[in-house]
Amino acid sequence: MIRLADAAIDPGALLAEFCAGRTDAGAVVSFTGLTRGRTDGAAVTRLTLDAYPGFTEAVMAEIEAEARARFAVEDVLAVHRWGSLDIGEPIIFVAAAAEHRRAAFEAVDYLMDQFKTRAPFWKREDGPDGARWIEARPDDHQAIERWATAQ
Amino acid sequence: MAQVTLFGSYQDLAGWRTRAVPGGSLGAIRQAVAAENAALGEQLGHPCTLVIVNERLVGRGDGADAHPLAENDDVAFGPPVSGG
Repeated sequence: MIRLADAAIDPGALLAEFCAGRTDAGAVVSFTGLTRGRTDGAAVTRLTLDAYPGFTEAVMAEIEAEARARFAVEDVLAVHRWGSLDIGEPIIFVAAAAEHRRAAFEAVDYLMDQFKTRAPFWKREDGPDGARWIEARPDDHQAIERWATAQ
Repeated sequence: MAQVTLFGSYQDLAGWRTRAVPGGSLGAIRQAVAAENAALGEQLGHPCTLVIVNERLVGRGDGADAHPLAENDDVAFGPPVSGG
């Protein structure tokens, strides 16, 4: 399941919700991304994410479907913040449940790599030196390329 | 008239987020925008620009120009998706 959130998210509560009543899985892996206060040495005081509700979830749902087809997972949850975020706030929560741990680890790793390079969010960092829109990082593309050859 | 929405840095370049633009195709919309703001028009035609109609990706940059538009279609242009 994919959700966009325009207010603060609570990774602990999301993880508890995701695990509740689950009897089909022996493994749950989760990832929480936080907004960084520094990028390439420059201070960041606020992060703003622009998104296109409707379209953004549809692209993320395609990525979720890929992960479900590729890894033996029972369930997936991804919650992405958008709007204006303070530094240190959770920006994304991703969890996967599987019968065994390896599939859950790999699915979350795959989902994060794909979301970072394909999910339609446009990110602006504000800092003491002004505002700048973020471009894709070279290591994001390297991260996604490894899935082209991975089993 | 299509309702056109700009995302990310394109908003800063344009000075607006959403407005009605006349045109029967994406190419006509892009040209109408370019006539007013050449730099923005060039960006909208860039081969990495996401072109979205009614919440569905229909192409990238000027490669989507031939796509026809109906009255009140929602058109959106977004820069290449960023990492961070």
